[in-house]
Amino acid sequence: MTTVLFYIFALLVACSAIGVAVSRNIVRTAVCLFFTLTGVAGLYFLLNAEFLAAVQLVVYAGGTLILIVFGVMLTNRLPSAGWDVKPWEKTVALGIGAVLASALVASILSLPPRAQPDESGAYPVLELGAALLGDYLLPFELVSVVLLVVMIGAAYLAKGRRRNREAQP
Amino acid sequence: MTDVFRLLLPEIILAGMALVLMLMGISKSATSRRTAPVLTLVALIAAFIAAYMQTDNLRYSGTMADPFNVVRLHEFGQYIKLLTAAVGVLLVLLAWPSNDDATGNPSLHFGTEAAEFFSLMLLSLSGVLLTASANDMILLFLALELVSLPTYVMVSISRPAAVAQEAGVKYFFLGAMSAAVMLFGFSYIYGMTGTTDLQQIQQRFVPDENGVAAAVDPWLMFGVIVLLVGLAFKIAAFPMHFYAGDVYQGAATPVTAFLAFTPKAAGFVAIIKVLFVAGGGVWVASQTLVSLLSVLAVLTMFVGNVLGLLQYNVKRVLAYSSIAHSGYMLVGLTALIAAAWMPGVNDVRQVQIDALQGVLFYLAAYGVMNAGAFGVLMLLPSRDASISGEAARGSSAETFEDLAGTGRRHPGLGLAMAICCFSLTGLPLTIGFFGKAYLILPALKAKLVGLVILLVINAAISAGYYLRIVATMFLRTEPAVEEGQAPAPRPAVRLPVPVLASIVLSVIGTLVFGIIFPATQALSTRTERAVTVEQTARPAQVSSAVLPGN
Repeated sequence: MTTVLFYIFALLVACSAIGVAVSRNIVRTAVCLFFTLTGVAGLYFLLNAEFLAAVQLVVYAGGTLILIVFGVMLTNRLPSAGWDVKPWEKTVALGIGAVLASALVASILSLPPRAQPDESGAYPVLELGAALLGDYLLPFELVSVVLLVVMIGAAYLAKGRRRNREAQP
Repeated sequence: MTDVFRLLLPEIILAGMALVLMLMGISKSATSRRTAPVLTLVALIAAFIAAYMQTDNLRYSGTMADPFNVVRLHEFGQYIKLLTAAVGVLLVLLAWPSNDDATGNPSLHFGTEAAEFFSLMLLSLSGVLLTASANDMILLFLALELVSLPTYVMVSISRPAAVAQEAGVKYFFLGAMSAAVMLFGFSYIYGMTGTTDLQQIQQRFVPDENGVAAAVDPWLMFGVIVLLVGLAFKIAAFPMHFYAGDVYQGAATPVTAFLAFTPKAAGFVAIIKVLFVAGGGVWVASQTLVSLLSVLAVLTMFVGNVLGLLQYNVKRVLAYSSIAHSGYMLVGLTALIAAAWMPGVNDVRQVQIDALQGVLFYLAAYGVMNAGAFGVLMLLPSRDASISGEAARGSSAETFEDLAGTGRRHPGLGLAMAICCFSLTGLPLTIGFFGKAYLILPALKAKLVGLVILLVINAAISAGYYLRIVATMFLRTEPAVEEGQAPAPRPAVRLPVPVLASIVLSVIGTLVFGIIFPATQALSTRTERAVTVEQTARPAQVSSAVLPGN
């Protein structure tokens, strides 16, 4: 069962990763990236790393990807517009990709034949929660103050820009 | 948990008032704008009192910590809290809104958002207080970011001019980069030690019985060095000083005064904490750190002073001079960790105490005289005719042209500026003289003769531009009006009372601590006590001295 699931997720990651690289449409690229990231989260689940999987979903699939889409929306006037890839860019990209791929293959080959799920039964989420509400309660609370500053500051700046624009028609 | 509240009462007062002010910001009435700075002052004074109330407890137990050891307060931290609250009062007075609809003052224009502006100011100051009591890398990082994040916003909104926007963006991006560098250092330290508790990290650095610095893993040392470089941004020291000129010039003058003190205080507190940890609790840091600090000190002094000489804009001059002042204080820190290394140093412990005391004293001196110099600058009008309309709000004297002859027209302001400049140079009868003396003497005792000579040379270079400011104000005539042109209308100088109060306070402070020796002595005793507690707070004694009742 696990093996079947592994291959399904692996196929999902691989195919959508190729899609990210090949697609000329930036929105399609983003959607493919979503499947890549979700597939990696699924692999983490299979390795019993629930917390890592959840973080992968929340931070990458949920946060970073939405940011990318927002960035595309706000900067690109025509979201369907593709871009031209120059030949030298293709060469450089292929070169970097080849180096990365060979490094990854080499490191995978040097590992023990199969990664085993952690069966120790330790439940890191529980410990993380206890740490956040115990030892690190104060930094945890301080984060909320820092985020409040960031939020108010961003709102303040955006408002200020509008005010200036109105002042100089 | 009451312990945490008791320990962090000053911080909680400041942050709590900041939240109240943000709620007040919803109301757009001029009354709420007039109340905001008053409440800010009340909060700062309350925080000062709250920090002062901890004196007895601290003297009794030496140090106070919360059950998780995330916060640990020494008299060192208490000193910084008192200093920050006191200088904070001066800085708030400088930014006091004084025009009819309370949307700014002669050199500051924050529009209708007075409450938010002062709230950001309070949050930044509370970050300095938290930095002083942090005993955990995560808390230290967050506290330092709490100092910086509000300042990015304060710079961009401080006046409607484009330069302020530009300065804000530059400051933000470079600040984000420095935060990344700092985190990179933290990650290596955490990776090599497996803990975020500064006291446990300190155990790795405890020197052996012969007083030789512990041989630590090179990666751990790499982490400490990267962390120090990241912190150099906060104090505007060499490799991370680029932003100072543009940002200090672009921000409105009261905000510039704020930038020149608040992040610098936080940065020095953090550096002292890092050196304490990397010195194993007895300031015996490795030779690498000693050479790193001395190189940084020399380059910072020379970069600041030489570039300061070349400037045309007085705000830029003060910006580069603030870099140089960081360099002077770095000399003190070098003496602090070099004392245990240099051959022939008598009574190493006393030299270390004196050196740290000198740095803390200089921080106080710099905060006082700096507020005065920027205060005078913001009250003098700008002569630049190209600034008009909306942008003219929030513009005050910036160039030497603007200053020409103003000393004779406003003798009071001229004298105040002269006193502050003399003090910044380090002439006798001012607090700046004692500040430099307290930095030089321990450095001499630590046999750092070369560094001291370079410091004195730099003080002489700095006299070049400080005296140029004074000379321009008193000796140069006002720019002549060309033939056939109507004389330009003399811009009226309005003198808001709070700003004047701030200037008067800082001038009095500069002189009282410079002339009346008992006052100087009292302040330096305070710094000395702060130092000895940090020095004696060895882990073994500390663990038993947790607050009663937990």
